[in-house]
Amino acid sequence: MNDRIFEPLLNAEKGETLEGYVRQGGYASLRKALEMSPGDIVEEVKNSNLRGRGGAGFPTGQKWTFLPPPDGKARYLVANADEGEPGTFKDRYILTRVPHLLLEGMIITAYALGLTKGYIFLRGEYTQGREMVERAIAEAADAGFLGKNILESAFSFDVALHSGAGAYICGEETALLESLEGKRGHPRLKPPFPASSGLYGRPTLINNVETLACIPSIVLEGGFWFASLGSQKNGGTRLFALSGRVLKPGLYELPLGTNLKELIFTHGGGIPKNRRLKGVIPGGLSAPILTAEECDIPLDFDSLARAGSMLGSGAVMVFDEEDSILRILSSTVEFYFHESCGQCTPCRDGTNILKKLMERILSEAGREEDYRALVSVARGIRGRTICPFGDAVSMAVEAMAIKYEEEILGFLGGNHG
Amino acid sequence: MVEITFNGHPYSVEEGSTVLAAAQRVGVPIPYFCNHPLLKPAGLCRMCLVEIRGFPKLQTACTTTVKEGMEVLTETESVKQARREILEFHFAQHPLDCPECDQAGACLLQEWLYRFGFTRRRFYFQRDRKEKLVPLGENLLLDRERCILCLRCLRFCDEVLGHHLLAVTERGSRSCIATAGERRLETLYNGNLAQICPVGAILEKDMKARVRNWLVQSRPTGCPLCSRGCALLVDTPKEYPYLAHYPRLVRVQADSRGEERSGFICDIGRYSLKSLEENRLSKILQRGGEIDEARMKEVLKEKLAALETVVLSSWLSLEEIDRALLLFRDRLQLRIFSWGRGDGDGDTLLVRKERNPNGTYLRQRSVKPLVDGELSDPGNTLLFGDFFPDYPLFAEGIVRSGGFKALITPYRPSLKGEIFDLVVPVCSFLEKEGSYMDFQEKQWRASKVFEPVEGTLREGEILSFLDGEGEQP
Repeated sequence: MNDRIFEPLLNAEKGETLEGYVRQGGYASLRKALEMSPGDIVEEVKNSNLRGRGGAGFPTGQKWTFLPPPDGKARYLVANADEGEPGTFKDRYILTRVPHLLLEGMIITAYALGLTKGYIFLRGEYTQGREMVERAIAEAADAGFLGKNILESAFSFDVALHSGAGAYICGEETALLESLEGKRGHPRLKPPFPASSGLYGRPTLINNVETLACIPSIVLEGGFWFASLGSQKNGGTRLFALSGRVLKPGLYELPLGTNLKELIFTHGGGIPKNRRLKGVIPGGLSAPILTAEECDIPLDFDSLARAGSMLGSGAVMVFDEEDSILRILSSTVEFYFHESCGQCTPCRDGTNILKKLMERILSEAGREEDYRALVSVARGIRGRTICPFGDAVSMAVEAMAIKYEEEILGFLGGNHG
Repeated sequence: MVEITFNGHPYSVEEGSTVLAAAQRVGVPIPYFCNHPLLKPAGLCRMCLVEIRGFPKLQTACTTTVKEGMEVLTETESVKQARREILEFHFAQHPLDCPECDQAGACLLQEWLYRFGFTRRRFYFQRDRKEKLVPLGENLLLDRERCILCLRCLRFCDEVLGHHLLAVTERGSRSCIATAGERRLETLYNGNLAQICPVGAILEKDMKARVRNWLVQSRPTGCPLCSRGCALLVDTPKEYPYLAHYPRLVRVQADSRGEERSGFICDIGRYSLKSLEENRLSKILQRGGEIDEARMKEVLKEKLAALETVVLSSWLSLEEIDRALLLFRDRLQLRIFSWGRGDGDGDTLLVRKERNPNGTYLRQRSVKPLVDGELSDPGNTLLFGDFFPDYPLFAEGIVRSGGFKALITPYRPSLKGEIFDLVVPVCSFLEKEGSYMDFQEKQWRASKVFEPVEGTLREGEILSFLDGEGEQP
């Protein structure tokens, strides 16, 4: 039995077409699922130890159980394909190379939870993905995998594609729902959570593309099989988007728990010209940076949380000794400043202050007190915002600033030597 | 009621209320910006963060509902630090132009900074510039630099007016309040936007640089401009000698302190009383020439026995109507009509078609409204009450009639004074107490906001005088 879920599919010839997908065994899982009871599917997903691949790493089976029982009215499934976390490009591969895997995962999920309509919320910039997914939806509908009485069962389900308008915040699930409803993408106050009141006020499940794409293999091979691929409480494999200072950047599917150093030095071919490792952002920009000394660590949700960072979206960005922390920090600050939705004060004004402090630090007027203020403002945002964006900017900026304090102060000192 | 504690002290608070509302009710100070008692909780400004036992993070008091046994802490170090830092975030962008800001003295930013703020400024960069004095509507200006994006104005339009008239443009700290295509807001409720703005971002154009909030006092009364009778606050200068340049009626605002009335008012109520104030009459006129009170009484006395028709204004108070009917209808058995400002357009929110405060009561007392052209031969006529300067030519019959005509009103008649044999100035709605009956037949009290203008009489005085005269054989 194969120990990779995505690799063969992503590399298959014409894997983006229905024909190519079915040749690889596609939609066999859906056929099996429709023979199973919905409860049994949920049980398999719980057994799989699958955790959300969007960033938070919440146990998927548990998230599924938050939905109230079906009441005969509309209930929605939303695939979060608003892949905007800097450094992340895993979902793009699924969307463009094997879109039917996502659709199959969605259909099974909808069947398991009694969801009546599915939406794919696609990052606005993913124009190629849009074409692929639209074609896949049409193919699946023609083949009877979508629509009324799927494969002659009693189950009906449709999927529609919606392209976002280019806002990072819409990856946050309630901002996504607002945008899907045609409103400005501002995160909602929680509670209520989408499971009870989501899209148009109805129960809604929102899962990441990669998460949903794991479902067919869990159903086909069993939850315990999936769990066995990864490490404790971290079922399955993960698509790591490796970028930055490595010889072989790209997408790597590896079991959860693979050591970060193995990813960089074995799979990624190490750092060009044998320069020294400076640090790694292990899970997308919002994951606090790890210094070179902290990089001997298994890539799973719990190990990284213990190290004060997170596995996040699985985007691993590698920096070497020639990269200046000031440049990394200032582009990080610039990104959050640009993307803050502006709804609540700490994030809206905090990111603006961070940007101005950063500009000052980089200018001749920069002083140590600007650096201290930067750290304090970053901390001041944390835990006080409506959505996790605030915590993300806070932790990412603070980690860079604190862990590389010496370099920053050296720069400020040299400035006025 | 549920039992909760604030800072260890037990309180009984209303079930279902928010922590912020409960705190306000029992007098525990929690700062806030975006919260407004008549709008849904939004949790945007994060100013009301408090500690609640059992929650790992600070919670916004405005979005948290009280629960039995809840322990709320509003003065812990982490709460105080959060307040200081959130205020600091606001002030990094907010212009410090308080001396020339019309909201000064009534500004929540000032208030909370004064009470809970930071003490040492840490940021020395240039503020971002945004547009100032953007015309938002007929009488509204928007200062986008002062705006703290609490979205009260936007939420008012969404939730109260039911139309998404305002939106946020751009993103993050570049966010701005705007209308679609920068069109002007054309609602009957524009004034509320200025009133609910917690800072000086939305201003009434004609109030700009006109009033310091600490130099006026607010006096409550009701609005006479339609049959709803909304609760009003009339702002009038405190008695400082150097306030001579302030008009007596500085501005009218909605009174949102009460429980029953809506807490918002329409722009008719907000702005009309002011223009009425500017048209007051203070002299007794006989065929356009000034006479004194004694002479007036002689004239009235002389004509009383020959009086045939009395027209009562729908602006008279319930008490005045009762007395007038007792005298003119029951005792003197004259023809009685009611007159009010003609119906306007009503709306589904506040404005009623009936543009008078006491029409309901006059109908209840079976006083026939004076219909245009109906009264061809009124004979000697007394017009009694508040007759507006803009009253229509309803009185065509009266005007043409050759009989004696007397007008008793607070306002300067726009028809030439000469038409009337006698014009007697009385005090206005804002200068007397009285009861009124709204369209739902509920009574409300108007209170005296000002002393009567010098030279005016009271309707009651005139009635007493006529009453006394009527008794004589």
